[in-house]
Amino acid sequence: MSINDIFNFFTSLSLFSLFIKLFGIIFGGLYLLFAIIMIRQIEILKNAINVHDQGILLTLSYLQTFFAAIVFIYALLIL
Amino acid sequence: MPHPEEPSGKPSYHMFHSYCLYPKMKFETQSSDEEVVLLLRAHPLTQLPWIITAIIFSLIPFFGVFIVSSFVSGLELIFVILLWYSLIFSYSFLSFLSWLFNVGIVTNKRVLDFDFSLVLYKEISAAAFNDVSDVTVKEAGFIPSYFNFGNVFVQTAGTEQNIEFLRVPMPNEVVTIINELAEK
Repeated sequence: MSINDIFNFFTSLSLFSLFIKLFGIIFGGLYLLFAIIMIRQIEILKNAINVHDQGILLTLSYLQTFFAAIVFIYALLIL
Repeated sequence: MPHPEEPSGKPSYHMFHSYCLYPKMKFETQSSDEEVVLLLRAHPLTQLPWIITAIIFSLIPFFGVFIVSSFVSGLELIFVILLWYSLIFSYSFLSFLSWLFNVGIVTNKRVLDFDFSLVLYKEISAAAFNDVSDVTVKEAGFIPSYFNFGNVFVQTAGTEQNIEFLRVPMPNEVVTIINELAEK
């Protein structure tokens, strides 16, 4: 991809749409990072206090990570 | 009223597991001869604010989409809705985890307070019954009095940090249990 292509890409978007795209990429990336950290934190919490949740908490945590990934990929590729 | 009568009683769970007698659970620093007598969490009623907030925010897109759709394209609108509900899910999940893991534990040997601030910060306070000098209940306001929940403060001797069980159900029973275990 040449510089001209990148330039044409950004100038083809309105300023508002560009803002939403950049915001989505940055926020989505941070949200994804947070969701990944939460998986580890839940494991630490469960080691500290053994709650008999049958794996529901980790499942919800993976679900959160999935949502975060969807948001990030959507902002990166579709917007 | 739920009250332990024997050292190894039958597990009983009350108030959506916010008041548990002899629960089947273990914790990190538990010794082999240590038995959990009481597990406490904040009264379920105290969790209503975040639950109601999540419900209200979940309903906002149904009304706001007509306004927002005039400013953004279809794809951007989908992104905003996706992001909105993801954040609501995360907020609800974090709030639930905060309630679930912020516990007070009374064993046959000591009193412990597990605090997890924003899930990422962990603080565990413990005091043996020998170090407990005073146990106080504070129950202020109409709603705590009516629904019988309040704060239990366990004061320890000397420079040891005090332990707090905030907004727990049946605080008077909690104090009774701690005092009885301390006398043994």
